Amino acid sequence: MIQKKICLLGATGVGKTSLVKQYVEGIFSEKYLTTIGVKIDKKQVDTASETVQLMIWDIEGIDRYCGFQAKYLRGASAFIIVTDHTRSQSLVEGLDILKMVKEVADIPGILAVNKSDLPASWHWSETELEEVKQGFSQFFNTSAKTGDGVDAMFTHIANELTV
Amino acid sequence: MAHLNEQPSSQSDTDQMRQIRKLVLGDDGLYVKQTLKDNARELVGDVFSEALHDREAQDGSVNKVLLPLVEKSVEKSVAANSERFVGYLYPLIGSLVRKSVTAFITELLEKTNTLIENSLTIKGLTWRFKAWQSGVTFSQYAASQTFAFRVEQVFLIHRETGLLLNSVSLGLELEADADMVSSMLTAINDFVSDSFSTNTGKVEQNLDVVRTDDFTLLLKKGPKASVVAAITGNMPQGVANQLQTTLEEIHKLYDKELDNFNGDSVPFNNSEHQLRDCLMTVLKPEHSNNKKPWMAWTVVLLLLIGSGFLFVKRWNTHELMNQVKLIDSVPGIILTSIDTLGLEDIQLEVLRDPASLTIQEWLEQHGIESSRVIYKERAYLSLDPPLIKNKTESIIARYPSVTVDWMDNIPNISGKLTNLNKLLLQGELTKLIGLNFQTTWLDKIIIEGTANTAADDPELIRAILDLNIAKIDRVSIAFEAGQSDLSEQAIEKLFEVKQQFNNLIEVAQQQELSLGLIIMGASDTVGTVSFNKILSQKRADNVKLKLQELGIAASRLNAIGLGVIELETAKEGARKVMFNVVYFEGG
Repeated sequence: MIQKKICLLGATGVGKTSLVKQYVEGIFSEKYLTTIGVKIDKKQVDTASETVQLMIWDIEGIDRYCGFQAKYLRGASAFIIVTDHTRSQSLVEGLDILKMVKEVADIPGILAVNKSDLPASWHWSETELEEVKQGFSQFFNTSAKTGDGVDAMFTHIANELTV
Repeated sequence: MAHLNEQPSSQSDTDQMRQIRKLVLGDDGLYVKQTLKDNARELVGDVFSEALHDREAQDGSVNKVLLPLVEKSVEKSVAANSERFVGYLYPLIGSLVRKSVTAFITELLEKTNTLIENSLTIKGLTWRFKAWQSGVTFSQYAASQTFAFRVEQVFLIHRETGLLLNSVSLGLELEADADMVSSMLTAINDFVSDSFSTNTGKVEQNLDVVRTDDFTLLLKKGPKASVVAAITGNMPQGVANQLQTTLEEIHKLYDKELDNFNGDSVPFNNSEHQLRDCLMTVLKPEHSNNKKPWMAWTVVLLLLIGSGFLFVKRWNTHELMNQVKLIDSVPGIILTSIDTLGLEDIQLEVLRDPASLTIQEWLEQHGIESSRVIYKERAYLSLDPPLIKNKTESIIARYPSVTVDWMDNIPNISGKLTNLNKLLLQGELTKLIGLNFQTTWLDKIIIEGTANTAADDPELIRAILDLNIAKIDRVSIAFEAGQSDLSEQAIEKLFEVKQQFNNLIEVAQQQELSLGLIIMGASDTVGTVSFNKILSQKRADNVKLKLQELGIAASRLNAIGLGVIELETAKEGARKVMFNVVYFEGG
């Protein structure tokens, strides 16, 4: 069985932790996350060729005032940047994070636009979004509340990493 | 020109040298290589064993490289030729099984011993309580108390990704989720190194030891992988050194695999051998407990003394009981039950013929403390020959002029007697139950005196008769108020009455007198006249019946109910039966 480390990044409050919770049954308490800034879970995914164990590093919300713990990215095979389509600012911060990640690691990045159960209320045009998506290897609409797109996103990552 | 010539010549020297080298050695040393290749087998063969030996001695890596290879080839070989292997192994299996069964039993016994030691001793119970208090299982607590330290689990973690490459454990239940632990440890280490990095040096801060109350995590970091050991107890430096050695070995052996790690941990499966070296265990030295448990010893001593005392008492009582049991062999005494009473006393129940030795006498004869024997006796008539002999002798003893010799339980009676006394003796012996009396036994007795002696004087005999009749007339049988049943004393009295009366019959017959007994029942004044009349009759009837039973002919008995005895002085004494012996001429 192959193991892969993937990182979950994004602005504060976009629902990263809820996304993981939706995906796996959480093992460590939330306290952990706020103490050292990372929460780790694991999930086995069966791909066409083999079983992959994803070690999901849920890294604390990042904002413009707060530094970025680049070390947590070390050895990651992929990363997900989570944004919230009810807050325009979350994408701005997401793009900042993308930039920072690209500086330290050359790994595929996935854009997750979360809270798809709510109507979109950010001020980004379709063309602007298309442009943003170019910086990522894949794009998913997800909802941590209903679970829409969550499985699909992680399965996609698992497949990509075992090709 | 010379200069010109020189240059080409030196160049040509170089060229020539190259030419020569090419000729001798071939292109790129081809000939040498070829020669080496041709002789490679010989060359390597010459030093192969030595080289293996030297390298093994140097760092032990040969064994670790070969072991997985050998294991694999053996596995393949066994799989391919299982039939042959079965053939090889078959003769060995029997002894193997025996050995393993022996080993199993030995281990089981040892385990049981340890278990008993740990469960039933105060130490074991204390441990159990403490384990319960601190919320761990007993085995974990026992392990923590038994081992000075123990490496419970060892992880091999990929440095870059924090992913687990391999892990080994002692198989205790505390085995943590190794994947999660290795990732979290990496994250924590990242956090520490980031949070506490010094400004001055560029040296990265690394976690080395994480210590909790009863757990120590020891981390050894290498450039490509880390080894982490989870240790219980007090960790000595030796563990850290072992971890370091293992880490270096793994770096050496798995250098390429570590570089090319893509999340697949299969290539590291064989690292188990190296990691197992780190699972070290050291037992705690047993505390030499020189404190003597004097309290316990005192209790044990007291118990021993107590039970010894009891045993001696019991033994004595038992001995006494055996001694007392011999009473059963005394003629005229039958032991019906014997038992101990309390610690020292003995309770026994016997049947005793009144003519026999009393219990008290017997005990005194045998030197037994009579206070220790509590007895209950009931009278019975014994037919024991020795007792019959005694009885016979005591009857004969009343006639001083007669002697008796015994010949095979048959008395040989001789002496002198008057006719009357001979008759009386004959009567008494006839009545003796158990003595099958025959009149011929008295044939040797010489009759004294003549017909005109005083003893044969009818008037004298009549006077003796009257005297004896008066004896019977004086007897009265008492009854309870309103009752007509006979008491035990009453029956005893009636027995005597019967004997005396029957004695008289013979004497009376000689005097040609007919003897009769009038039985008179009476009652007190309580109750109606008619009731008392019936009651008094009933009392008389009962006495008559009993006398009949005892052996007086019904024809000689007459029962009369007198009713109430109208006497002021009678009172309670009026409830009785009285006798009156009457005789008539011409019996």
